[in-house]
Amino acid sequence: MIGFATPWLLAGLALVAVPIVLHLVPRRDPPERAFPAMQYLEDATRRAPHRLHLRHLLLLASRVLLVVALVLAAAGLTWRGPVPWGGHAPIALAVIVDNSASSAAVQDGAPVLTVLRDAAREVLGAATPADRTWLMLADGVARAGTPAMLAAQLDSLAPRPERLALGSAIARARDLATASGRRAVVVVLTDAQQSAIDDTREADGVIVARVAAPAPRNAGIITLAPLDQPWSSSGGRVATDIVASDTQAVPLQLTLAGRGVVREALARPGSAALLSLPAPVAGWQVLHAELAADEFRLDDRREAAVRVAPPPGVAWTPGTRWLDAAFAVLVAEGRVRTGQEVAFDAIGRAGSIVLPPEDAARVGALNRALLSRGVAVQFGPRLATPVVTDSGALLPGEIAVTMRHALQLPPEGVEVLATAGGQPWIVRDGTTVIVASRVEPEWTALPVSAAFVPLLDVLVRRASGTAGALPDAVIGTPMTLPPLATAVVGPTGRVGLERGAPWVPRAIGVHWVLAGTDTIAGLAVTLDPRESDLARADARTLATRLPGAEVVTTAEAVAAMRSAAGGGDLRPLLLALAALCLLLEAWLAAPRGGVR
Amino acid sequence: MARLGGLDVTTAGIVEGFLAGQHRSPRRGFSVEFAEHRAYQPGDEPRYIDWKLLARTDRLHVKQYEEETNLRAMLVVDASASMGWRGAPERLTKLDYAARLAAALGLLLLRQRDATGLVTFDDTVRSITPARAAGRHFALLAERLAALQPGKGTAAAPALTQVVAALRRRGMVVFISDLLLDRALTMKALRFLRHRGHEVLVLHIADPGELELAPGEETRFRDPESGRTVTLAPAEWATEYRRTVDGVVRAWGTACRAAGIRYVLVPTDLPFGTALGRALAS
Repeated sequence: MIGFATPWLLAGLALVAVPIVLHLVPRRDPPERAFPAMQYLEDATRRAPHRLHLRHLLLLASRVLLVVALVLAAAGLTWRGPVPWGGHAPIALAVIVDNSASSAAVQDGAPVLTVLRDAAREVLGAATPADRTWLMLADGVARAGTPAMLAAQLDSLAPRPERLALGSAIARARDLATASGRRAVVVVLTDAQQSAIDDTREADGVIVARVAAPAPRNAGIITLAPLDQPWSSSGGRVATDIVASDTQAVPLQLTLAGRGVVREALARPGSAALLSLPAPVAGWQVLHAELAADEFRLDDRREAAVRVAPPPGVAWTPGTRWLDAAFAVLVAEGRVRTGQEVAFDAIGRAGSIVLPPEDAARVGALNRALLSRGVAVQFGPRLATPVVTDSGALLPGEIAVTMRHALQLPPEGVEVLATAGGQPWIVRDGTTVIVASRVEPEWTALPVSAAFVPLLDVLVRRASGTAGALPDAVIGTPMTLPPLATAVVGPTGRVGLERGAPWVPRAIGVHWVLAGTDTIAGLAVTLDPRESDLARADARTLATRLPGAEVVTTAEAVAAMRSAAGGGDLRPLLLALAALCLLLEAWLAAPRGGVR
Repeated sequence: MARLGGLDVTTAGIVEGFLAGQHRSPRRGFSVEFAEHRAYQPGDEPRYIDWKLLARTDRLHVKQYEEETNLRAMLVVDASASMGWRGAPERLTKLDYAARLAAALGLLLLRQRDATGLVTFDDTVRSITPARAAGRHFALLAERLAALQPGKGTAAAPALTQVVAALRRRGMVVFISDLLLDRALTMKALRFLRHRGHEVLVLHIADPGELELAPGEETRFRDPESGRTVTLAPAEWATEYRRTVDGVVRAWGTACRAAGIRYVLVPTDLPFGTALGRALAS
């Protein structure tokens, strides 16, 4: 029924011993004075010993009560129920407003964020200036300030495209509030998006105020992937994936910059679609996809970067069965042509795909040739220990590697495209791609695997400098850009890069990766696909995922916060009691009452 | 004069000041009365020979006269140890105050040709000065009063009993004391005096420091007579003490009134003129 804001201050109750000890311990030897009217004194003390004893007891009680009242006030004694004078003992209040992308969904004519923001204002309004308060948003940053300052920040609050992992945000807020030493109260205002509650977290003392209404219907684009980049002049294909609250097909419109609408189709949610598009002009292009507007607009549009370039010319020495067959396929598909732009198993004038020599004695000569070409990568000793390739973007599966050379890389400037046995196996230094094994079955199973032809296509593109767009990046998620990248240009402007440092995308849309003034890659920054699933967790699910949390609706948030704040603040009562004790003590200790 | 410590001068000033405010003659009732005959002895003044008796009896007798006053008064002064106390250095001790008051009363009475005597006592009777009306008697009284020093305990009853013996005829007894004594025993003696027809006046000498406890830190109070101690904080007991003192004063007043005795409380910060006025008020 009672609680304390700062219970450790209860140690101050030991001060109660002071008046008791003063009362009990004999005082110093008093001065002596001759006084003839002794019988008057004796009569007086004989007549009122009980009254004096009572006064001394009252004096002791008032002093003890004074100490107790002050210590309890300092410890922030609270009463669970309401008190007539309102208020609560100082608490540490962390308010989490889930303004992640899903809060932009419109419900009953207004964004969900409006409901969350109003509830947050009420919660902060119920806080007192004595409280320590923080406001945490989807960016995960805890902002400290007075309730009024934080409420003012809510005025400019807008949905953020980042995803808020509710469990970890709650854990951080609890740690923050608990560290203050006061009663910690964490209020989470959220649309309770099911996908945001990704793990189970202890949430004692946490109030989860959720939007009780069911989520609005939504259809969103979660995949827009131009395939087989770069596209040739004959066009290319696009894979799309739509997620929706139901299975009803939705109209999808694809637009290429400079070409207008190039394709309209009906997309069926839950099943990937493969659409062919006509060829745009050569160079980097932006592909737009858009669905009909619904209550959640952020995932109704999506962009992708597309590289359009003619097939590179490759020079290789025919005679190797596996290699000949692979290039034949690529030529037939229009992915490459015979030419001098990329030299395979040789160091050419432009791009090169360099394999180790069959004769180990020629490795030194090859290394010297690489150095003279400005390539810092060197072939090391030949290794006959069988390993397998590690799973990666270029080689998803495991490929056996029987023989390879150790690759010696410079500290920076080299992109590792594939590894085997944890060591670099295929690397790129500028337009030179170096493979640590020869593409022969005696060296590796790659030539006889299904991954060989696509890998060869990619390697030729890398060597020719006509690689397609980088994989999509999710907003807010750090990613590593190519080693030569010096800046990124996106919808919000240009961002310089420290070499080797990860880049955190902060805006949705196509970004161009620059190396100096050259555009070396393009990529699309997208919404986290989980944000498109607006399905909300019910109270039971929330209680299961956040054990110990009090799950309420946004309308009940303030009442729950007041209750969790420990109810009524008894400090005014205690201070009044202390003042009363002080007056009583002064009255008792006055000349008529005596001071001992 | 020096022997009297200036008491006679002080007293004369007090009395003159007091009389200046009175409207009655201090010399009323003056007369000389024949006391008895005594056989003539060589050396007797011839003028005192009763010639008429000589003519009738043919024997020489001299007339013996007694100076008669209209009052015989006895001042009974308490000189116990408690009387030697004063609550503040700027005040007189109760004994000094009582001595001056007694001297003033004595001078006043003597000027009225009232025979005035003095009894001083502490735990026993220390001195008895028979009542005389002669003007020079004051010097003796003043000398005795000036020589008073605080004694030991207090035993008023024997002193008052001595007064009975000293005052054969009806007279006036002025009992000057701080009354820190056995009230029942003292009242019994006073009532006896009253029963013998004496007019009794009790002057209760009290230092203001006895009437009210001065505030201050906790103190061990010691009775100079008995040596008993009480330790207390004056501030705590001020009210109760004042109530007790009031009760004591009231009790003395009531008991005295019931016995036909006049009782006057005389704080030692009271001007002597005022004190005399209260004492002699009818």
